Amino acid sequence: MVLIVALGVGSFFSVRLAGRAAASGFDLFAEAVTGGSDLVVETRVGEFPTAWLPDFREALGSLPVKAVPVLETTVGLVLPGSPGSAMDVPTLRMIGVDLLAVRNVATYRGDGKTPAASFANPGESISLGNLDQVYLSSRVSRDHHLHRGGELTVIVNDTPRHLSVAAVLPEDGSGGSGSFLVMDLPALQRLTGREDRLDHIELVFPESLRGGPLTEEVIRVLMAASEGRWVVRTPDAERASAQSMTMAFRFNLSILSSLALLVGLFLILQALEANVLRRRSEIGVLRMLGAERRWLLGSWMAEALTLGVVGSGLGLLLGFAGAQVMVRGVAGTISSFYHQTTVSAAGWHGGEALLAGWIGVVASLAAGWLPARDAANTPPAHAFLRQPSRTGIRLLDHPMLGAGLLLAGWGLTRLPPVSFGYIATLPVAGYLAAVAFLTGTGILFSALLPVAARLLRGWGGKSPSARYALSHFRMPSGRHKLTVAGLVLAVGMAAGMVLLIHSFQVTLWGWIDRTLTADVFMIPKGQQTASGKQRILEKTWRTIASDPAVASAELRHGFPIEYADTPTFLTARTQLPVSTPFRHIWVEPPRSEVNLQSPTESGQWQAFASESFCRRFGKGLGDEVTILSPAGEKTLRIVGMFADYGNERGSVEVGADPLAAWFGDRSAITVSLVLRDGVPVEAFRTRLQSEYPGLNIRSQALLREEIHRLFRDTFSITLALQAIGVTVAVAGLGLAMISLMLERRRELAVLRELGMTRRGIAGSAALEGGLTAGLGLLGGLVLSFILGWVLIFVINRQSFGWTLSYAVPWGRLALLGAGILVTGTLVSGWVGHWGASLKGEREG
Amino acid sequence: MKRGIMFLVIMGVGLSASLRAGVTADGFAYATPNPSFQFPRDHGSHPEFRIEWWYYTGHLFAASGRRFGFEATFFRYALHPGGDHAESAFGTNQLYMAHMALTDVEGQTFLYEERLHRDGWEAWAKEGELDLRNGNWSVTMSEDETMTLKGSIRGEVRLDVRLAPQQDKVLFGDQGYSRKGDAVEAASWYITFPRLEVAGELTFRGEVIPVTGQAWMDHEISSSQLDPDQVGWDWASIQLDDGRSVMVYLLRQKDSTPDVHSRLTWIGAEGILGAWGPSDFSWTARETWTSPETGGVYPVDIDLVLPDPDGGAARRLRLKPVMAAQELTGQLSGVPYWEGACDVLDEAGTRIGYAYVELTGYAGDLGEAMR
Amino acid sequence: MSPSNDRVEPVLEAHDLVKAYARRTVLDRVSFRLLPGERVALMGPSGSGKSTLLNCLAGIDRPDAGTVHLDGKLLGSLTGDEAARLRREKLGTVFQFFHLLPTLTAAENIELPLQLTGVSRPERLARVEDLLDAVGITHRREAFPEEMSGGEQQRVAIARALVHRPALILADEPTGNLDSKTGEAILNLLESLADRYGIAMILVTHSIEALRICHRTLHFADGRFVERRIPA
Repeated sequence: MVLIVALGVGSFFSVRLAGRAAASGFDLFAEAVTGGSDLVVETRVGEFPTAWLPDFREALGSLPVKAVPVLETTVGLVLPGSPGSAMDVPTLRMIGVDLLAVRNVATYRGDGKTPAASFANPGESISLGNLDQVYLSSRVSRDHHLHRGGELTVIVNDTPRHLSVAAVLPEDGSGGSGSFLVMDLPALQRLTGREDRLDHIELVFPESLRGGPLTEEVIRVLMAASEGRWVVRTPDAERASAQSMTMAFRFNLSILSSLALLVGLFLILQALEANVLRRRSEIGVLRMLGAERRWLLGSWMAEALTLGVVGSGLGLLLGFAGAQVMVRGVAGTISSFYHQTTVSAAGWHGGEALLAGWIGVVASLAAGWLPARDAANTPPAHAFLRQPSRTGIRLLDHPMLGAGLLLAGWGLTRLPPVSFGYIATLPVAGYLAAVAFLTGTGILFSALLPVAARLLRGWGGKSPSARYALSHFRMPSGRHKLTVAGLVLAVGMAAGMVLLIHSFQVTLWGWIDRTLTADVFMIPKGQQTASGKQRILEKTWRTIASDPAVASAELRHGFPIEYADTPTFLTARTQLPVSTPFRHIWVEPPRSEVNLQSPTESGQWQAFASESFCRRFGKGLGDEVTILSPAGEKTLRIVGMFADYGNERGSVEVGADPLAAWFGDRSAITVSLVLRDGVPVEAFRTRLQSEYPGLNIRSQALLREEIHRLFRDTFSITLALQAIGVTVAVAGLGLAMISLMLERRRELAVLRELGMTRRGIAGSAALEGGLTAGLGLLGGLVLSFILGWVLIFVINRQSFGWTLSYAVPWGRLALLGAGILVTGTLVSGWVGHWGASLKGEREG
Repeated sequence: MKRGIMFLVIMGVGLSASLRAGVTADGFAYATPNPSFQFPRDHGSHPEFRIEWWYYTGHLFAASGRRFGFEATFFRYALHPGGDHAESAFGTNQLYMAHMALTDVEGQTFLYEERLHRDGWEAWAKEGELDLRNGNWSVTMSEDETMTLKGSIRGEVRLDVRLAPQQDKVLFGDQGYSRKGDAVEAASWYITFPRLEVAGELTFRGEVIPVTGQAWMDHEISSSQLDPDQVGWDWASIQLDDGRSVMVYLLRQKDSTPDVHSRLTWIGAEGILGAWGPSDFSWTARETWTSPETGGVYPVDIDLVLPDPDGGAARRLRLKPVMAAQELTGQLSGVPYWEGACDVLDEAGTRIGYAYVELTGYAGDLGEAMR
Repeated sequence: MSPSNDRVEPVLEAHDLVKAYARRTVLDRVSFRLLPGERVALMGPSGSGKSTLLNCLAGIDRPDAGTVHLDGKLLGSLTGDEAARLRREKLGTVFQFFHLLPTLTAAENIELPLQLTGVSRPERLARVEDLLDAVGITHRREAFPEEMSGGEQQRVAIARALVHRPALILADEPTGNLDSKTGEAILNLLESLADRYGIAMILVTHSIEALRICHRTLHFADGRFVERRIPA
């Protein structure tokens, strides 16, 4: 039992830790270099032009604030010795800072621990503006075995560049554990072709003036001079917003893992019940001796508490270990869908440990409550009862309660989600509905035992074993009901997850099939994540698109923007030749002619919006959306809604011409090519790959293969949880059967005396267990369909704004069902065989 | 096209500057006689020269009688000859170093901060006018040659003062051409405001204090300050209550003897009263102070014996530092030096003036840095 | 009344049974013989080893030494399942606490042994009716054990013990849990049925009343048969 609690607590804890580590591995700023900034200045959209710097400097006047301009990008890292055609390269952040300016920051941070201080000691020359020199964080140095003087190649946008390592930065407690490269700012500007741009400016205050009136004064003067050009933020606010973006994802993960604990709860309940029953005479004696109810209750609860504490303790250890394993998976998912995150280990977090441990203890106490009450209420006389009386969990005696819960569940599904602005929407009511359905179905089906028995009575059976087995269902004990309920729960959850995953896969494949129609796809190497900054420059894609083997090309452009203070994307497509029609998967198609490239007479622009954008912000066809671009505010009118599973932030699509005009940038994120008839795809791909080593060029077949792989990786977590659920359920059945056998040892002895063979008894137990499993399975499957519906149409839609199609994997479910039925029956039979050898007690 | 014009303009400026300057082997201009200064143009930067500084020291007094000493120095150091001024916000041609120090006499506290920036958006020294910037420190000059100095030392000190010349600027050496060594390049152009009246505000640890006082400003332009044999210098600016000033520097050689180019100059209200060589004055330290941070052993508390142009007799002045520990440790530059506010005492021990004393080359290798 | 005991095969024969539990000798070279139709009362204090003896005689327990022949078959040579089959056919048991299967009705409880021996359905039903009638609880045939009184339950138990026409009945304190009146009725029932079907019986009891239906009485103490003692 301790192990069960440990498993449940452990899985919950490890998910929480992994999620937390992955989300917080989000190194927002160049903090690793500055050691912590006090304010951040950035534009509301797009990049900060260096042309604004003089005004900025003047605004700051003589305020004692150090300003560190930062340019950030992501690059792919090609390691020495790795094959040039490697598809996957690690993505790293590349930070450009004024290497000289940053050294001055150390004088503001009196502790001398700023990594910046290490940028060349006095007397050592700094290579200013040197295009070849790069500094590595200690993580990168360790992970990739690169040291001072070493060489490396990075893919900047679409081109590889060769750099040499100037130095390795020392490790620093604060933020120094990330993976990143540092270059002198002007060098990085030239390297990325962004000579006149910055990303943001970090402001560092003197140690003694932090957190005082200087903050307000700086904000005031800067905002006064801003004229709408820039905003000032605190690092904490930015970090919180980044955390909240992944809140929904992490919340969902946590809930799923805590449901595993719930199943374990049932198991413990059963086991504790059995305990009470077994020690009935002991309890009776205690009562005879005068023990009070309260004392009995207390001592049984104390046992449950001990179980909870020990189990939770063990669970925390297991969970911590598990988190290390899990963190890669979670971090990978977050990186792919949200933002680049670097994390090596999941750190211990006291708060999460407390939460997980507390949940484990509470669950144990909850599981122990009913049996403890049972024990306490045992009349002394019962102590000497040979026949176990019909005690047990009263809850399961009320099928009406079950029906009521189902109704409540349905009602809950109609409630809207809890939102935190537009950033995160948590389907709390959806989860509560799921719990209601879970418990309701469990109660209902356990009440169906006698019905099932009556139906089967006719079948009666020639075999005495069968008759004996079936006879137990006439008046099912609390234990039977509990077992059925537990099975319904476990099977329901497991099958529900299988259903959800299958639906997701079917939907996504359908989407992929309709959108991935091109022959060849290109993306900068190392650009795997939603926040990657690498781009395919215009001259590069124009050259590629004009290749004689290419029939048509589609370029995707996109820039992160904010709408209603929430991060989202503004995208566009270029089709070459221009006449090629667009292809979208419409959720709501445009109702009339569409022209994205020119504004309407009133100055509005037509746009398409993705489904998740519309759901998140409550927009529909015909609605207007005003966004801020570097060229000022633009009003967009939504004329079509499309499905896009690429990211959960949602996106708005405008014409390529306006987008390029507003952002001054026609570089592409991806390039898709359709080749002319008869052109061999693989040969073309290989040729282009060697011509453009900085690009990741995949054929359709290769891409599909990779997506398969991504699927497997991303959902490995849920599959593991599913396996735990099923194992726990079958274990529960086995435990229940064991308890039953123990209870019935006299009966079994009688049967033996009457001449029933061991095999006969085993067969009877197998039938009894099999039927219980069968009923539980049936209920579980029904529940899984319901849960699947809740997960897809309520929880998923509310969390992410997507519509998935409901697809039932009959084959997989049949396999799951058969597996449970067979194992359940076998386990029960085996327990029966064991039970047949128990010595009955003889009087005298 | 634009770049081409810029290039010509700079070359033009450089050309005109180089017409009056020599060119070192590295390609930098070096100071030559007859600099033919034009103001306000030559208050500004001379980027074709390797090293340039604008250097302020002074004494501040609050109404309560509380006293402070301050130093603010803006250095320019050229990385490449050719004198291209920054075209980008993050240049790679010039380095701007700056120091700011404050001596709190009552509290016996010495605070200082060093900066090192590249030329660009937040550090510059403009050509053609006096406009200096290093982060949030700045100096500007108005038409009447009044300068506004704004500075800070981390979170503890803020300074916002106006410095108005009480007498015309002085050109040291020969019309501003000052020899420092035997080599032809070991020279500088040297412009000084020996008497500036200071008024403004000092914020010291949160307390805003209106202050007045007097200051001294040096502007030196050169490409090499020291000969190979020279290890450093001792320098003092003395402002006597009778209105006269003395500027004295001792160039120390490896064998500790003063270089022949060491100078002592008396300045009156109308200008230079006279200049003397090392054989005419003596500079003796009464005691030494060892820096716990750099290990430098500084000879502080100077006994200066010098001829007085008014009468010709020798005088003894004591330059007594208000506190011993006034060293800037050179975190960013690698060159520590001592720069301290002092009282000038006569032989009877009466205070007859204020001075600032600078001692360099007692720790680290100054010669390397200067060449 | 006592049947002759020469030249007739005994129903049960035990020879020099020895059994020890945890260094304690429970059966100390016990020998025993039971003829068909013979009823024997077995008396003795608790802990004397009566139950163990019964278990060994029924083939449920194996003695450490000695032999038991039930209906001519050596129990020690049988496997567990073979022993179970033998019991099925030859043995009937009646317990103090009835030990009916709680989830079966009275009729079903009685029917169970016949199912185990593979008797055909019509035959089964006929015999069950027969015995329900014989023990006088036909009207309670659909009742579950928890719905019946002690006496009724014991009747069902007896019916169950007899339904398969065993050669031997082991009755372990059959009246121990009943009031004296009911107990008397049960004893009478046992006697008449045993006579009617010619079934031998070992009756473990503390009750003097039970002695009257038995042909002989044996006393058991400290693992062996002893001389009759006048009860204190």
